Amino acid sequence: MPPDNPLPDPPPAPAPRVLVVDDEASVRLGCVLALRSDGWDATGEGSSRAALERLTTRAEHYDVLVLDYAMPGLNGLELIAALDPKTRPPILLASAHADGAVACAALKLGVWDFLAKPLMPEELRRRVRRLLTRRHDAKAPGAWLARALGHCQNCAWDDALRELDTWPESERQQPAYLVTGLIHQMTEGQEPAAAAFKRAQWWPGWETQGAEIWQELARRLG
Amino acid sequence: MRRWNFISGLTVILLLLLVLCGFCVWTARTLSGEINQMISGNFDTLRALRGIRLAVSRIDAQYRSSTSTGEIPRALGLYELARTDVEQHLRLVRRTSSEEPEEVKVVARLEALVRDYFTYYDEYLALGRFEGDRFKALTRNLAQSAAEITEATAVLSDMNERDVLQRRSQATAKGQRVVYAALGIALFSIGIYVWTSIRLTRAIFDPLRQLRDSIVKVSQRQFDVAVPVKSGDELAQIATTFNTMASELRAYVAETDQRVVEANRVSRAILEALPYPIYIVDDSFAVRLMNPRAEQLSAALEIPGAVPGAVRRAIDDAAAIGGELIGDDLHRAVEVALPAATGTPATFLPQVFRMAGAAGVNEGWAVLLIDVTKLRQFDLAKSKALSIIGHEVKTPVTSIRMTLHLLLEEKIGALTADQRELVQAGRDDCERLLTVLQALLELARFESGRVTMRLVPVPPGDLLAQADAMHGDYLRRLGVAIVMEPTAPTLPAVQADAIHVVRVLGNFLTNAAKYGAPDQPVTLRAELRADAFVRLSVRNRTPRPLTEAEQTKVFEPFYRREGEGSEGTGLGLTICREIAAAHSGRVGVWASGDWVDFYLDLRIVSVSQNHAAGQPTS
Repeated sequence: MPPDNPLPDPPPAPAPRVLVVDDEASVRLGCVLALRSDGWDATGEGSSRAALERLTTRAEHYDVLVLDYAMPGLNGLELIAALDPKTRPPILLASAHADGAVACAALKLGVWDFLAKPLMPEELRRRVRRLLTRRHDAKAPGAWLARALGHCQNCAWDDALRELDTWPESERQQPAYLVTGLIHQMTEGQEPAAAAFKRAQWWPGWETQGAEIWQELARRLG
Repeated sequence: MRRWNFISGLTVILLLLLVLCGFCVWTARTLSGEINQMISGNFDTLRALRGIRLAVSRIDAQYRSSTSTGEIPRALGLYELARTDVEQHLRLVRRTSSEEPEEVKVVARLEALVRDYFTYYDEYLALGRFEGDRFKALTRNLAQSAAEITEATAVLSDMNERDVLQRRSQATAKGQRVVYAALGIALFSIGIYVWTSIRLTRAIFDPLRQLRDSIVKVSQRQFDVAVPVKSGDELAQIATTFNTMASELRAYVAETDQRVVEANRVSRAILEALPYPIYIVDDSFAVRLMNPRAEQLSAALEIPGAVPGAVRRAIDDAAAIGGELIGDDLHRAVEVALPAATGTPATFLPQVFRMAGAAGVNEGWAVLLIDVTKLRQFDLAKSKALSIIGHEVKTPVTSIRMTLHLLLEEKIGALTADQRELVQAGRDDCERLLTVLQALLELARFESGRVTMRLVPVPPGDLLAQADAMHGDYLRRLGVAIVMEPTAPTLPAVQADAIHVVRVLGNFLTNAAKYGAPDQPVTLRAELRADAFVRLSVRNRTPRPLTEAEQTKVFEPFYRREGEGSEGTGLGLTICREIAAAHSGRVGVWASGDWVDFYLDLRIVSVSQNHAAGQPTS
């Protein structure tokens, strides 16, 4: 016999919210549908200015932003620059053609996650999931890299470097050196950047390589 | 004339010598005859006179001195013999004596004395005894006759000896005269010789000296010289020939000068008419010649009369590969930033020609700067248009693809079997279209130079191993084995961006698997080339050997062999060629029989680069 007064099911946790900003309606719709089918609360926005209004004026909350780079009006980077780095959600930048200048500017804006177009539903889901997971992981002890990347996302470079420095040398994983090198390179610390890149076995052609930097970051960060 | 002088001079000398020889022979013969006659005559006379004296002495000793027996010896044999002997000697004296009157007189007296002597002796021998008056008278007469005969022979002997002395004096005097005559003739011959020599020396060496001076002048390019022709001998012929030669040379040089001037004029006209700058420089980049366009360019760059850096760099590149730098590869185009006031930047494609001297020594460089500004703009515009069009097409295609993938996931709704089949077909077409689009866009990026290589020293064996690791499974699934030939440990490292090189090798490998003979392995190998390249090659057998024409076309965009399907983009090998060009390397294919060999040549790392290993190169 079933209990008379069974405990009610806990209220379902709200699905993470994702804002997809792409001026291509079909791509936008595909992304939204792909994420919704994975349990995300995905919203599409076709205009970067409208997206900016949602995020600032209307102060809508999103857990992850998926932005297209090439858009009329404000492009993806300009939209990011208009957001407060300390309060904005993690961003996944998608583009069909990312050159070195774009990669460099994006990294300086704290955008360290890039998705090359054409998008595949499963890859999109995986990358968005990773962003969210990293945020959760950052709370766990020993997740120095996740916390450092969180600081990078907020453009808090000194905090990111400090976080990486607290990582015991003996346990430090190789991607840490790549992240350290990139931060030094952005903050004009060329010599420590070179030393870190050497340890990471990476020789970036800064300002010339775009997709390669993104791919290497994505590969090393998992 | 010179020959006549020479021959006449020699003939005179020869005649004089002959005369001298003849005179000497005649003199010697005359003197020897006279001396012989004199000596033999006088000697015979003297011997005969001595014989007379001896015979007379023997007779006296035999018949007059021995008086012991008291009787005159009766044996007259000795007497008769001595008498015959005296008479023979007397005849000889008469025959050999000279005809000097005094000597003739003494000889006549000697004959008379001999005759008297033997008259007395006949009577004396007839006496038989050494006694009586008659004996005494005959003895006195005989003693006196003997003494007179001795005296006469002595006189004749003196005369003959004097004659000998006189003839010797004569011979001596004659000999001296002959010596003086010979000396005179010899001196005369020497004079003739000296005179002839001087004449000949002047006749031969003066023209030779003139000829030499003229040759020196010709060698100094002074062709308006002429050697005087004074006679008709060999030297004159040489002078005539030389004058003819100098004249022809003068005409030839004038003609050549004319041609050079003409060629120079044409060259200058071409240089001036050419719409492109041309710099002709020596090894140290000093300008030897530049056309007006080049002068304008240098002036615009505010370096009048000097060579722009782009030209120096092009020459440096040509020198590095030890040859010329020509061709229409726009990757080599260089942009020259003109001052803002002058105009927009210009893009030039340098063509560098090496100017080799006669001995093959480099004497400088000619650099033609083909203005490819518009071509480059068109090329960039083409790439940009291709890129834009590609993106414009690609964007909807990618969204269609994403839509089809989403539908096939069936997370947003289930499909019927027919619907799934239709959507799958649409997705496959979409994938293929997207692949071609991506390849086209990538090719456009390569052509526009927007793809940079991260060149680092890599051992060739590592590249082959990476290619095997990345593509081996795919080939093995198709039933094709990869045979990797061991690489020599001495094989030098190459400058390579491993990702792109492995991509090229992967393209070769998948082509080998697709088009090669089934169940035949594919060979991967690396070998050192003589021209500072390492060749990475993929070799396999094919059931359809590549023809010569096909070998030249396989790297062209969208080239497909007749009878082949339309799988693939048709751009894979073209992108391989672009990757090779971005490495400053080359790709190619060899086919021999049913063997086909696709290769990628990469530059080896120089010693200096080895020292800097680990530093990236873009």
